[in-house]
Amino acid sequence: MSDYEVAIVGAGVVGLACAARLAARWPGRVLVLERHEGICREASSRNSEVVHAGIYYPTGSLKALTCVRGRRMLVKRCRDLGIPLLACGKVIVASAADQLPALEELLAQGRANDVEGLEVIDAERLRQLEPGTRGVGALWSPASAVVDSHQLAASLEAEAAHHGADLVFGAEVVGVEPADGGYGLTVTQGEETTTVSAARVVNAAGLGADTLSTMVGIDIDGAGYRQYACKGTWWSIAPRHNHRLSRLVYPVGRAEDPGLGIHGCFDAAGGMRLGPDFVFVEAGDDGVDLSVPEAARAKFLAAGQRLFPWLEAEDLSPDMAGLRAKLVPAPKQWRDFVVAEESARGLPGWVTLVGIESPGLTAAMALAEVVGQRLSSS
Amino acid sequence: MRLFEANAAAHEVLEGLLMEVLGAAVDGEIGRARAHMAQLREAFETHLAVEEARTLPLLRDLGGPLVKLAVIIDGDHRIVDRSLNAVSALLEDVGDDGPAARAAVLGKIEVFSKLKTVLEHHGVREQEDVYTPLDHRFPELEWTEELLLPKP
Ligand SMILES: Cc1cc2nc3c(=O)[nH]c(=O)nc-3n(C[C@H](O)[C@H](O)[C@H](O)COP(=O)(O)OP(=O)(O)OC[C@H]3O[C@@H](n4cnc5c(N)ncnc54)[C@H](O)[C@@H]3O)c2cc1C
Ligand SMILES: [Fe+2]
Ligand SMILES: [Fe+2]
Repeated sequence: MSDYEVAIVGAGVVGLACAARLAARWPGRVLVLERHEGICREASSRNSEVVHAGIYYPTGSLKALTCVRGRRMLVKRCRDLGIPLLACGKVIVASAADQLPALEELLAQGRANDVEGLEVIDAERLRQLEPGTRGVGALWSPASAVVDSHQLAASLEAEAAHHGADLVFGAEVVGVEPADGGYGLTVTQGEETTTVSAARVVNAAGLGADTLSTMVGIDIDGAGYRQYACKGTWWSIAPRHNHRLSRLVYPVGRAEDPGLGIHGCFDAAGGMRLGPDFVFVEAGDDGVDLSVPEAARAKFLAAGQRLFPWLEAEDLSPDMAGLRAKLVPAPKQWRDFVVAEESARGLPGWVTLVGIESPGLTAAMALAEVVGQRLSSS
Repeated sequence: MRLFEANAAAHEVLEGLLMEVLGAAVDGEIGRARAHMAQLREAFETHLAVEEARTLPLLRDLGGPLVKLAVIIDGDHRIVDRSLNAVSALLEDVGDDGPAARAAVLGKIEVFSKLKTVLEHHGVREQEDVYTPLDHRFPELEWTEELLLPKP
């Protein structure tokens, strides 16, 4: 018999959501292995904390489905547990008339995805809703929000612990072998190397998920699982502007913008940030450089001033950076989230999650639900 | 004293004891750190016993979303318990008083940070989401002597 029914690799928000759900199904029989000394030290603590409504993604895609469902689950959880959630909504702003048709396209896409409350508004209504920005029109999305992602993740960890899940930190999975009708994971913890077995494995290793796939023998290029790190940096806006915005403010994505476009967001305390940009990066010997390059200041100022005429150069200071796990090596290419049970590759009970970029925070609880379904049908 | 204040006072005692443990450990005074750790463990058990016997059943009885909250509070307690074990194990591992032990503690300071963070978050969660609503709901409840921990 295996040591555990399920081993989950990775204690980011997605791994923790899986742990909370699966530990309820297999109390005391779930193990979470995380290489860092605590939860959410990678993408899950380096994002905009935006609860996305689910507008942008092709209808029927896993991104669209899990974003909308995950958001509803997240909002309910926050209300039930008192986790800070700013129900601020967001405006996607057209700065010139030639961008207005794009608002209609987004409106249609969002409605097809079952996003509530979307409305195209004119310049006057935009001024009333968000006096801190300017534009010729906007898409108003009242369902978008900002969450305290740390408290959300901590609540998932607590739920998993309540159901007796074992969470082991400082534990890196370095090898995988078939064992006892399941999988034997080789784990290093400091100087020590141990092996632990599990009947099922959930690969929620974020940017490390393709490496883990390789360990179990999956050809990541053949499978389309190779991930590319795409860095996003934020610049904080001087505290004198705190609370100047009451809605999230995004630009209409322009053809030359590689991602959603640099936008204005804030945390629960009102502190404001601009970001993230979108730059593919290679890991060096010490991993990926997570510093915020000063050279990008002009780019951020220009993007910021398109949305916020009051922004001045000295308002910006470098904030932080995060890494998206993308399944494509260049901008303007689209891939859906992958959540795959790998029986067809001779790996029953092994579930791969790759490409869990934005809206992965919003979608986390719905992704865990999908993982549960994939395991039921395996 | 209302539940809110009694619980806040208890958490202050727990956090104070943790600071004593941490202070002694980073000074390389491992013997003293272990002694404070034993006090912290005992105080936590006492406080936990009251909450498990009284607070969690109340939440569960009230039903609705509070049942889910009880799940999270219980989960927090387990995480605190494990974090306490991790700190105890570390204090056993680092050897006796002296600079080597001090260096070993500093190298593993995250183990202390984890305990500090979970205690603080748990304290805030209980104060805001558990004891404030319970004080409203049950204006007659006064659990002073059970919830209060002796000040070290
Ligand atoms: C710039 C940026 C902005 C974003 N903004 C938003 C947003 O506003 N809204 C939104 O919904 N989403 C957003 N996202 C996406 C969201 O942050 C991610 O989708 C989500 O955090 C992914 O969670 P995860 O658990 O899959 O990955 P991670 O949080 O990266 O966790 C993976 C974990 O696996 C561990 N691990 C890896 N390999 C191993 C191994 N071999 N052994 C043990 N442990 C291992 C890692 O240490 C890590 O802790 C953003 C992402 C970025 C980068
Ligand atoms: Fe308490
Ligand atoms: Fe408690």
